[in-house]
Amino acid sequence: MKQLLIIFIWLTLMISCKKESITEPSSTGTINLSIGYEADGNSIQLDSIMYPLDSGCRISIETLHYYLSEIKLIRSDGLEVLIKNFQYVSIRKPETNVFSSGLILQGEYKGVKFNFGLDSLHNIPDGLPNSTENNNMIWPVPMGGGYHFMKFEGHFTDSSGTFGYAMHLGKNENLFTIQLDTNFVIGDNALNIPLVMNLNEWFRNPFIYDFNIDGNYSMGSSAAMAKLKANGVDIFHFQ
Amino acid sequence: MKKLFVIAGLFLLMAFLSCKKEIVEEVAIYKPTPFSLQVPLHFPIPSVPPENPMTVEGVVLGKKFYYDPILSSNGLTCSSCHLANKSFSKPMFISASGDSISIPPHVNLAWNPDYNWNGSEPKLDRLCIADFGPEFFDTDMNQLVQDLKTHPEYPQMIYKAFGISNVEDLSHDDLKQTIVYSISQFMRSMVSANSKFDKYFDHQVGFTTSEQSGYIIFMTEKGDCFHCHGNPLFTSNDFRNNGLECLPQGQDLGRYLISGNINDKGKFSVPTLRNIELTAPYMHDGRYQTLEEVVEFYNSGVCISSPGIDPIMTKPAKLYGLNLWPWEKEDLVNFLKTLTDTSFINNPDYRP
Repeated sequence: MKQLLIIFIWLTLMISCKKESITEPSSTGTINLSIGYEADGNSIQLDSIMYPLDSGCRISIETLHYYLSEIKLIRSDGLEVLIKNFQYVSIRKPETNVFSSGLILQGEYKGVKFNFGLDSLHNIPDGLPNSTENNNMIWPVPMGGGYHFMKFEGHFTDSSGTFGYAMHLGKNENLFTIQLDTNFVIGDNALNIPLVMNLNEWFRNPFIYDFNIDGNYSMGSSAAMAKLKANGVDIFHFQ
Repeated sequence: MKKLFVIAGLFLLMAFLSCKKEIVEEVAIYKPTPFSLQVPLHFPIPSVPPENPMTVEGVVLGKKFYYDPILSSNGLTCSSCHLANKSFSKPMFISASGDSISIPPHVNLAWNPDYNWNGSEPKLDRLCIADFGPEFFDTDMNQLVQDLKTHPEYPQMIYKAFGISNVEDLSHDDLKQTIVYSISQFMRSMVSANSKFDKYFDHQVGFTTSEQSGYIIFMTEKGDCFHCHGNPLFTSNDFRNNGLECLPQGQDLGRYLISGNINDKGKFSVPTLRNIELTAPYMHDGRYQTLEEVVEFYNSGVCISSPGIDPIMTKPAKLYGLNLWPWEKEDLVNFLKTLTDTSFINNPDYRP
């Protein structure tokens, strides 16, 4: 009987100790990244030809699909923490413009970093899950295989009339990295980090992109894609 | 004597059990078996609405309804307008308003986000409801209830599929919905992914020189078909204006008639090209009788001034036509014919 009592007390202590360790304050947290859009500070009204570019024309935005990959947070000590392998985004599907990290260490961070497009491990035939969205971004095998990094389409108007444009980006050599520096702290509560893509930045800095000179379709033009890649580095900013 | 009583007792017990078994077999059990839809390699996982999960019993019932004139007062069945050898399509339909409409095929519908050329119906599980109306089945619902109730098979099949023991308990609307649920389950089960193209893609067969040339034209910027008709579904599952009409009017306004958005004028649901060889005539109004005519339209007939024309249609390479040589157009048609799946149209699971 005495032995049973000892075992009971010992078990009670063990369980209470275990419970205590579970209820210890967590050292992890989460962040939510959200993406919004603008054209030099103006909100986006899809399908309306109203946004002036530096080249002198006005454009509409009708389609914008793209991938971000290797999305990382940069800790204050410089260590990079991967929070998502890739993210499909469509301007017309709000649910694709918000995504959360898994649990990550709490503490001080100094930036966000990601690729615009798909990293080479995923940019291969069947490199992504077979969703309708991914399948519609396929870069056909006869042209190298993999996926479009971006499909950005609409119409533009200038003195000679209204025409279509389609800025498509793909191929490993056109992948580029975007890094946004800002200090933030991840604590107990989920942190929201709103990013904004200024669509006009695709067409300026360092190169003014003129549809009439550079082409209103980037497909098949390595020169046009190279300009988009160079211009794309600073399309995002924090809200 | 005691032994005799035991034997008699056992005999009676056996007789009772055998009688009980007989009774159990007579009563249908509502325990539907989940239907496992075979998703082909490279295909996305289709979304099946939770209100109408696929079951073996539901698919079997839907197939029976699909081919049964019991649903109509004029002898029509679903299969009257969806002929198996036409990829479950039909050459033409003239609507009550006099419009010519090319009937879309029933192929890979599980992956469609909307239905009809202008997307007037967003749910497959509602698509056939209108067919009970005077334009198609002209169904006498009171008669249908009686026919189903006294039918030797339907009462048990409906119970097994949906747990409904008496169709008289349903309102006419609920009965229609139940029937359409089963037909939708059957249509979701109709999968085509065994064409020559599929076998080529999986390295089981080779293409002819002409098919290979057509494949390259289709899948590169030269023909630029892939942006709207990419593998594996051969549809981008969205609405686009391909420049059929410079000034769309009437039914040619397409998606605009549903959305009211002026940017949708002339836009239509992008059709799948799977089994396209079998589904002539082409375009929403069946204006083209052959694939050669369709290719010629894209080669030289696109109206680039159509308002809201898809930007893809006015690429410099397309602005003045694709400029394909005659043999290249032939190659493109030969490639399109590799999307024909005869195992699909002859599949006994889809036939009566």
